[in-house]
Amino acid sequence: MFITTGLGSVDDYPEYVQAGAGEMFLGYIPLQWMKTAGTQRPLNRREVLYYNVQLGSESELRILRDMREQFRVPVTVALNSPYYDPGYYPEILACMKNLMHLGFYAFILADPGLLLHVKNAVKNGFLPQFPHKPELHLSGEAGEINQDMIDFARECGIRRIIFHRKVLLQEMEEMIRIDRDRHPDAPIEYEAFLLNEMCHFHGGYCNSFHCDEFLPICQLPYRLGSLDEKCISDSMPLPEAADRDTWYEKGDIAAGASADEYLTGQSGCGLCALYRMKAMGITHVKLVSRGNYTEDTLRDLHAIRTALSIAERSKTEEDYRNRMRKTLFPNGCSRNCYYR
Amino acid sequence: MIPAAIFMGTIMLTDGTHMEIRALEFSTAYFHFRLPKSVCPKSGEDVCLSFFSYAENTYHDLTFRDYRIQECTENTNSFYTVYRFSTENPSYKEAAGKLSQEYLHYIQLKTGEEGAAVTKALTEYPVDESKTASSFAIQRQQFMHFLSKSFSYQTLPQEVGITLDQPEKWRHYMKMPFPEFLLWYFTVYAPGCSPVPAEKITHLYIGNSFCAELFPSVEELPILVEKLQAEKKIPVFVFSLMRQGQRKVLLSRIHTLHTVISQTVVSQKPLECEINDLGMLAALSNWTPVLSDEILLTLGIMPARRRKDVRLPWKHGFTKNDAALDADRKQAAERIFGKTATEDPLYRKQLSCSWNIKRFSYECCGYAPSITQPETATLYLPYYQMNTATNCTLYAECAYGSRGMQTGTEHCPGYCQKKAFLYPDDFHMVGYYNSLFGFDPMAMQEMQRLRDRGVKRICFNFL
Repeated sequence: MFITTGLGSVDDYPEYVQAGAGEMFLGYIPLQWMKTAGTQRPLNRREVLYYNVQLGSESELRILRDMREQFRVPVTVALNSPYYDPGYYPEILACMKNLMHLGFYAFILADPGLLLHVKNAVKNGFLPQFPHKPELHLSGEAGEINQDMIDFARECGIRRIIFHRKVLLQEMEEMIRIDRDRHPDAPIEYEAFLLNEMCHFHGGYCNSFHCDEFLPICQLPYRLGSLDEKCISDSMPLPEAADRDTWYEKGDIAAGASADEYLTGQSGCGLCALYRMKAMGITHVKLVSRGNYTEDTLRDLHAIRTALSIAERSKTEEDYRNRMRKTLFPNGCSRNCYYR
Repeated sequence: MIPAAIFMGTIMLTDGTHMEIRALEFSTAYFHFRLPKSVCPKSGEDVCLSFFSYAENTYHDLTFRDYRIQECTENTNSFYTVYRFSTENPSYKEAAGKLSQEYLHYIQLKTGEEGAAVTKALTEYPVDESKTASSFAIQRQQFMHFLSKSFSYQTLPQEVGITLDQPEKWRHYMKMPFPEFLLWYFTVYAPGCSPVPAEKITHLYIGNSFCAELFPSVEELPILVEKLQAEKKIPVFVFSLMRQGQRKVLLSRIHTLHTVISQTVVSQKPLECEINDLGMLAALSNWTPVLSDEILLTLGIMPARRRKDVRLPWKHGFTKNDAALDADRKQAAERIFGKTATEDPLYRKQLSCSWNIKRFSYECCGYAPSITQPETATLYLPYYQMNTATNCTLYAECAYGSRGMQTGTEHCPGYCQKKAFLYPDDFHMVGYYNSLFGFDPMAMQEMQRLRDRGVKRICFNFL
């Protein structure tokens, strides 16, 4: 199982490799795109100007390529906006072609229209197939929530499915099993989110701004209220016991770290699910880290490696969770669970 | 290291090619950049530097050649060489000074303030986040007050629908004659707007685009269908997102619907179904009733993603609230956000040839979307979807006390029949079931513009 880590700066690449990252993903926006389309039409899911979330310029890409030659850890480029103006598809394809000439062959895509254009561009030779074919990953932002979307993705040449953090584990398991049963001789890879930036909504159905001047819309203040004045005092029935099964309700988790301490998974965590992910065939786990402090990402990488090592030695899922929590969260975890 | 996007440039190399560079740090007298070991900068040639101006929301380019480049050996490593670019060019001084001021201002804001305060400082954000009504019914009245000013059924196109997207709506429909039902519908969901005459409503959109739990039961379907037939209203059955765990239910649902319609309906018209999941479209693509056009498929709004946010009026670059500039702002929004994959010929070919899509749904969402074939479009208004969770946020809040604690819901008690997420009144938004919705106060004007461009069907999606 590989850890795929978000890369906001070239300088972090060697350190992340040494800390155990098996792959990295990044965003690159050509200057020409910034001038004509800007962040109003973002090229990837990071729509900000004032954070170091994009790799930067072509010079940075070339430096990264040289680093990759030495450290041999692959890099993917995110072109994962869920929607583009179709008038920009030719420019995106040109950007992909340029990236391939620079030595970057793996791309994360989400717009279904772009997927079809990329499929065509590979077929008609616009995107080179030598020395490498483009390797296409389907972003979690694509809405791949059922087996039929995976089938469509395969038809478009997708080699890896990235499940969104909102996909239930049992559904992930079922989709992988069905896909493998149908295509035993053409295996693809499966990636799942593991740490950080849990959002309350599914990224594939999030159409709101994520820009410098606004909070993400899911962080706007709200309260649970009533539809009408009559309902204000109505109580609602609680779900049956079977629906309330959450891993941390067993009473053995205390409160998490204080505000000044760093706690792995504070903003979103799937570590309890790692054993099950391994068993179901997830090949890559995603550490969301573009724009995070380097030290925090290094801590996260260390935590994931520790958890993977525990998973290797554990006989059952419960055994794994107990041991992992005792080791990584002796004072309690964040309870900000991706998967419940 | 400063963010790349605010200060980049292109420089000539000794091999005669140009390379994009970024500034690592800068002042009004110099900046540092770096290059891979394999290349070197060529001094004495024009360099083009691009500085982002937040105030003007654009880049300013400077091209000049009065500079000096020196290698900075102390910052260099085996992969790259850092260079110091020094200049006394007055234009550079000015541009770098402005950039520095804006960037520092942003950092000060972000480190000193939170949320709304930052937004207020950077835009003309008028939202008072302390004012939230006691219930959605009160907010609804406030929203409809805007709509009622421009609401007139005489401006509507030839086909008009209403959504029956909640059990309360279709169950009221089932037990009331249509004119009486319509009066109830408008009184509850569009207070202040004069009800559209019953004969003007041609279509009823039954089912929910967002939540698979919200669809008439097997027992309710035949009753609904018979009443629709008797009252000569055309049904469009709406199907939600299709999680893997709901696949059997949703596919079986459309099969059951087809059976009920075949057994009940005398008319030879095709049954319209709106599908909100690309996977579901793919799953239905070889089904005979779809291939033979017995079932006519519409692409719902969920797979047709586009920018939708209630804060669009205050987005930097769209911040003018002056009425005279309102049209310009909307045109800018249409130009920038109007087109998405649905308007791409290749994607439309996939949708129509491989997945049998015959119609497309859109929303009024603060601007009029681009619509390629308006005669096959349905326009929803005045609410629009902004965010959706595949596992219910309302369920998570009601059952577990936190919107983030989401699980699959097999025994949903229907919290959405009584509860919603309320937002500050100025936002014009609401959290209903698993989604966040914005309200477009100018929806009627946008609808009229699109009607004039050929849209023949609208659907009121009052919440």
